[in-house]
Amino acid sequence: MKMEITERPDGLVAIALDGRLDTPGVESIEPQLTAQTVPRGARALVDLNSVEFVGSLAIRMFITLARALAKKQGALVLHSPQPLVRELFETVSLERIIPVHPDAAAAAAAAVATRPA
Amino acid sequence: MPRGDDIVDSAAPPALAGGGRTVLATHATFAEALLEQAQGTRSYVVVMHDYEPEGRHVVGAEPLTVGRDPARHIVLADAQVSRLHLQIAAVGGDLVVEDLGSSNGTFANDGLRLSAPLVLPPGSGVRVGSRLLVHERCTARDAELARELEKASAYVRALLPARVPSGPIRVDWYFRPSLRLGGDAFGYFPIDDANVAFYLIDVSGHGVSAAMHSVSVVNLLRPKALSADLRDPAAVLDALNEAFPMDAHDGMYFTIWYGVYSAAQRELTYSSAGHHASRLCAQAAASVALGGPSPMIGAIPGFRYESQRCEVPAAAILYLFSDGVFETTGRDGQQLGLAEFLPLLGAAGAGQTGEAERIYRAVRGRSRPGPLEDDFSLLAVSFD
Repeated sequence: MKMEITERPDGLVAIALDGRLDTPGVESIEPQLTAQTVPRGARALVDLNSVEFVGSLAIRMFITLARALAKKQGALVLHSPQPLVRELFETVSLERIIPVHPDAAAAAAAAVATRPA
Repeated sequence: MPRGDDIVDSAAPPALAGGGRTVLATHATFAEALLEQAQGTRSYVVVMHDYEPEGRHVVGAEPLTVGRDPARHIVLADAQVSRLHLQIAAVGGDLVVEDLGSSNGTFANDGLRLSAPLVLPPGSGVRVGSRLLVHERCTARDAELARELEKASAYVRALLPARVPSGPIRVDWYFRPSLRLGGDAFGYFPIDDANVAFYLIDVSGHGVSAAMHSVSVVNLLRPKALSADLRDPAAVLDALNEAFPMDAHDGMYFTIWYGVYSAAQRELTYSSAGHHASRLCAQAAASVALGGPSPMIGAIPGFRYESQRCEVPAAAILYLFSDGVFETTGRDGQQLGLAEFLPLLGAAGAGQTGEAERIYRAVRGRSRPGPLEDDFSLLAVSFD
């Protein structure tokens, strides 16, 4: 599982994931992902374009991360899921908990909208 | 099925052949375990059958003999295995396997029959009959943890209900836990004289914690255990959602499909929480999806689930299954999904005993070799 974290000029944190978010995949990125976003209350965009599989542990990681970020006035927004991943998100109604957008631009707009007043 | 008592310390030699007695050495004492820990790792032979561990044997100073004869250190009940088939010795950090003139041979990973002693580095194995003997190098503590995982797996299996091969409602199922042990469980029970409940749950993640969570849910899904009318699926899910909030359970959630069949009305009432739809197959018709999008149990406090109803046609079959049934990796590495799995339902032999296992074999056949990545749980309920 590869993860690239970059700070965008607009202050959002872009996280590009590449690989399978199965149990080993989640275990390989979760500590770093949490450490780099939660303490500073980041508004994080997670790009799922190169993620072919998302397991239950990954959903749990995203929900836990979204709640931790919300407590710090941050936000988590997912975008660009592949068809099978999008199907899973719909089955579990993930959008009731975490915003999911079809592309990076829409995700960025949603994350900016969460900016604390 | 893995059993704790299969795991024996074979370092001590068994009684000599002909003595009619096999000595299973007692497990290491606490002090011995500490000593082993201080000395580092040891080599184990793990006997795998159909991708499941059957036994774990430590290789000590003396070579281990393997064969069908009960006097061997590792006894394999397999007609393809000779009475004295091979021996395994520890040499440095490796194992060396030598076929002792067996009738049917010992085969290396590349499929070649052994004609000379073979060095087995950790992680590699040899095939003997239907068994795979794998060299695992780990600490005594890791071996003990593996053993505990196997025992937990056996416990989850012990909780699963008996199959029902005859009668107006027949139930067949197949369950195969992943090597890491997932959090699947399922069951069915009569609520009263008129109604029968069926359910399948899948706890997020793997390992003993997920299995413990699923066991606690199963123990609540019994008459008089849950403060909800078990005939009302939405009320059952609401009650579970209140009982198992993620935040109070180390972030764990679970998905569930729960249905109640009323025989008099031939009606199924059901609800699901984050679980993909179950499928109802009637003769000569494509399967119907039962269930729609909804959040997992524990994810949204106070969420209200809804029940739906459908008529159950004559000779219909209801399939409940976990995502491990269809989320597999194909032989050429591509991700397989529901679309590839659904055609297996309602096919030839549907509704007959053993159908669930046949579906498992079909999924295995199209997936890459090796154990499946997640628990495989499939419940097939056939109605008259």
